[in-house]
Amino acid sequence: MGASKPEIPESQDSSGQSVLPELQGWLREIAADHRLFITAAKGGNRIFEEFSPDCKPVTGLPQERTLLPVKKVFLPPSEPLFEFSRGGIEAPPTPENTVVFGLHVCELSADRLLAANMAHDRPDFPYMARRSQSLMIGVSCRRTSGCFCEKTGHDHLAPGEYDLFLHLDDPEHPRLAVGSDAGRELAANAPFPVEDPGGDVIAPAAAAPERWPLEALPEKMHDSFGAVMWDELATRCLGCGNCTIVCPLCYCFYTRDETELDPANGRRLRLWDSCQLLAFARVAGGHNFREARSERIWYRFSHKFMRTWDTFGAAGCSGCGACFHFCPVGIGPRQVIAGVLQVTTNSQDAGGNP
Amino acid sequence: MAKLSDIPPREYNTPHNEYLPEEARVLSTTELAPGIRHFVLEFVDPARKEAFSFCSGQFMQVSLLGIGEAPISICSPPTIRGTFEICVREAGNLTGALHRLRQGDTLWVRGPYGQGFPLAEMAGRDLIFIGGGIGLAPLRSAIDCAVCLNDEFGELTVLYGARTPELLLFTDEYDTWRQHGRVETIVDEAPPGWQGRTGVITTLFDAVDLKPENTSALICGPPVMFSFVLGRLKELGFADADIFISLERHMRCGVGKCEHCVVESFYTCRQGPVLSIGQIRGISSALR
Amino acid sequence: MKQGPGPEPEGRIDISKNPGGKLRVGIFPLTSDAGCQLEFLNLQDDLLALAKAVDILHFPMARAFNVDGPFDVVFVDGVPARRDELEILREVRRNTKVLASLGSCSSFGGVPAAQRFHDLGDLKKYVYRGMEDLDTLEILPISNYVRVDLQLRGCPASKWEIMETLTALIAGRLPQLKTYPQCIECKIKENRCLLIEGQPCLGPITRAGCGVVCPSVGVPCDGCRGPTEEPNLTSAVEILLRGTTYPDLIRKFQKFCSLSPEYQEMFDRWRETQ
Ligand SMILES: Cc1cc2nc3c(=O)[nH]c(=O)nc-3n(C[C@H](O)[C@H](O)[C@H](O)COP(=O)(O)OP(=O)(O)OC[C@H]3O[C@@H](n4cnc5c(N)ncnc54)[C@H](O)[C@@H]3O)c2cc1C
Ligand code: SF4
Ligand code: SF4
Ligand code: SF4
Ligand code: SF4
Repeated sequence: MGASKPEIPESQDSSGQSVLPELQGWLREIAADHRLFITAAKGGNRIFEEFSPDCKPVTGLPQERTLLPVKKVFLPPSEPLFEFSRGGIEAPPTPENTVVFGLHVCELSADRLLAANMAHDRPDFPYMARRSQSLMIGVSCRRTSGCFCEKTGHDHLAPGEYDLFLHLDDPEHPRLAVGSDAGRELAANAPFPVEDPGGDVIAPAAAAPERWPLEALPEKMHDSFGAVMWDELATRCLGCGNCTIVCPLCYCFYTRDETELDPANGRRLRLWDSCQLLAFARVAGGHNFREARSERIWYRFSHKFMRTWDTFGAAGCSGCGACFHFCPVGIGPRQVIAGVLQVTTNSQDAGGNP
Repeated sequence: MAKLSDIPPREYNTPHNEYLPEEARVLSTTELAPGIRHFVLEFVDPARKEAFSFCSGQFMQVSLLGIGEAPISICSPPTIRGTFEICVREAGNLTGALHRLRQGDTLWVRGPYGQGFPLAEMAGRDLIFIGGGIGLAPLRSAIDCAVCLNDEFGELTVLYGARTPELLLFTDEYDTWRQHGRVETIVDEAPPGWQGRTGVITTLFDAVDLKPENTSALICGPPVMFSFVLGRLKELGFADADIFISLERHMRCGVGKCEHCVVESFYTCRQGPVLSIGQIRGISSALR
Repeated sequence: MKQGPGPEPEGRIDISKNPGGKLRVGIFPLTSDAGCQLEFLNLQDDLLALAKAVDILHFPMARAFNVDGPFDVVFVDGVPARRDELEILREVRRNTKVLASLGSCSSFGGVPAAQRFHDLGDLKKYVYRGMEDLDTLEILPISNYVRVDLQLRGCPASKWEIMETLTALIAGRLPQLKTYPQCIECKIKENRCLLIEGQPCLGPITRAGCGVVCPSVGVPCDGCRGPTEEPNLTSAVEILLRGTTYPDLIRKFQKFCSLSPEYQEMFDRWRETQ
């Protein structure tokens, strides 16, 4: 395929990383009284999967970002907001304690930001009911050619910003850092040397470690509205939505009612949506507030680098590179932000922001 | 600004499930105009009925189980307690099904959502209401509120346009409104014999006398109306901060989570639907 | 020439229910391989429940006695290839509130429309051997002759869409058929992406609804459900050509939905290069 695409290894298991035997035992113990998710290999990708005695967790130093981010555990692709019947409506039960093992630094950081977003203002009940009872265990990563957390500020976590982190940079000497009280409890039975309290967790250094001027980006994004760079991207973009589905910080949804043959029984579903789809901002009567694909691409990036920054002082992009990796035409934040930083107010097309 | 570092995930509380609607009963329903029905509603749960309050310009998420959900403005004034009213144009799936409801049937609602018209801040001022089509619904809530709180406001002016004479809404209330000011209407097209005006809504400005420095403007209607009306208000000397406009967008959640209603940095469902022109200055996609 | 409907049905769809009674359903076969009707029988467990919940009044494949209406919803399988089928189609439209095209033949001409890429005389000679005087119509989607309210696309039509159509009409809901691309569901299933591996998968520009059956078993999407609402075909063709040849790619597009309006410009460009 295109020269810019990294090859997908056949199977993550064969990437030469040692599976730590003691880890399996610990995970089995955790799974006894938690709903445990681990990362496993599927079709050449790393994916989050519910732990079962015969599953093969990918351990060692899993390199690739997961196909779907951890959001799928807390905000499932499709979930009933409630079921209904002749007796009225009923919300589904709240799931039990969840532990997720195997998140990289950027994934932990993005998960925190997503949780903050869902808790902000009017909390999203179904997400929070799952997320607030959960515990995340991080593991060391290796940089891949496609990731850039150093650019977005999602490359480090202070103690208190993680529960547990399994340092594997020296595979001979794993150590488990404790970052929260809940993490400490779980660490009690861990088969690794425990570092308590754990220190800062930092992603491996990048070749060119400078951060994007994140503070300046909201204004730059605003100024770039209507600029030709978006039209150029729109000639290539297929509007397929791959980029937003795989993004750990995309969470938008639509709702739909579903009934059984007896129409008194059914459910209101909420399902993942994507702002790259034509129908996203269309209202009844046919008017579409984001008719142009160029504008939809702008909106995607403005969410990440403008709205999220304005609300939380953090970038809405973790720098995981998943969107770029899974985009058939190779559109990704690095290219886009480079473009945005070059747009000057003068180079706007008519129709842009003043 | 909420800071990420201020909110450690473990201490999030999950107080209320916003997505669960509550049942409300149709006390009465009438056809206001072809394709437009008016409903008087009451919560089935007496405690909820008692506690329910809102402000003019806010909307409810109205749904029927098995059909779907849609945002609908409340069109009755907050001064009426115990019941609330909506006015629905048949536009598709849910609104079509709502039109099949009859007295005694129930539907499901959650809300109220969004920021309404800041009527309290307008005390002592004249008010001009400018509406197009079904956009009169949220304005009617504010008009009736101002009518009810007669002493709190100066003169009321209502400029209202619709496609045809029969699509003019709440016509039997204009006389009451006129006791507090003026009501002028206009239609796009009319059958022979129509005594009223035809043309664009801005021509109605010629029929009224305004004191722009002491008047707040409240606007709701189709986006095509906005630029003309705003241009005219600017000419007359209205300040951006005194013009309030209710925006329509695709909405699913009503609580700033589904992302459909976003305009640059604001959520129409949370910071809106009513926004002052001052708040959206410089955002070219807001008024389309 | 008018070539099939866009994504939005023209005019209001009458989804009002048959007062007091069950939903009256008809399944009308025109010229086709009957695979789409078979999907009704393939509903298996649901079929029994369905037969109780609705009145299937017309379904020649499964019933000995068939009624000609009135119906609440009729599914038309296949395309009119003979003049008498045209009459059946027009009669059906008069007798039903909702008319749904069932499968890509009735929606887009389907495989039979490949007829249009060959000389009809030749076809009669080689395909329908010895039937040179056969009176076939030009193959066109049924929307060319009657108003179509719902398009259930695919080869074969998807069971999910059939059930959504029926359960929605029973409940009084407008069927919520999917308009987004295959990739959305493909990613949700966490399949490996065949396109970025270099295979010619039409997923990004093909409408979802089948449950991404092909990519889920490692076979590139052939686009049998037709284009998405606004397919960027120029860019898609460029990407797809990394994994196939131009003639093969065009044949792929011509296979199921050759009469879809969205494809025509691409075919024109292809012809210019010939
Ligand atoms: C803040 C806010 C306040 C609002 N207040 C009001 C209000 O007070 N009153 C009001 O009436 N509206 C109001 N609206 C608009 C209202 O929300 C929309 O009209 C509503 O969402 C339509 O939902 P629906 O399910 O009926 O339409 P949908 O089914 O979602 O319609 C979408 C499209 O589907 C197609 N469609 C649907 N059904 C059919 C059919 N039978 N045949 C053919 N095509 C069909 C049409 O093309 C239609 O354009 C408000 C909107 C907002 C954002
Ligand atoms: S925008 Fe792309 S790189 Fe950034 S977090 Fe989302 S998927 Fe990762
Ligand atoms: S960037 Fe787009 S797809 Fe992602 S959450 Fe925001 S609106 Fe949704
Ligand atoms: S994955 Fe690429 S082609 Fe597809 S919508 Fe996203 S940017 Fe466009
Ligand atoms: S395999 Fe095909 S359908 Fe699946 S994501 Fe890739 S391009 Fe889309």
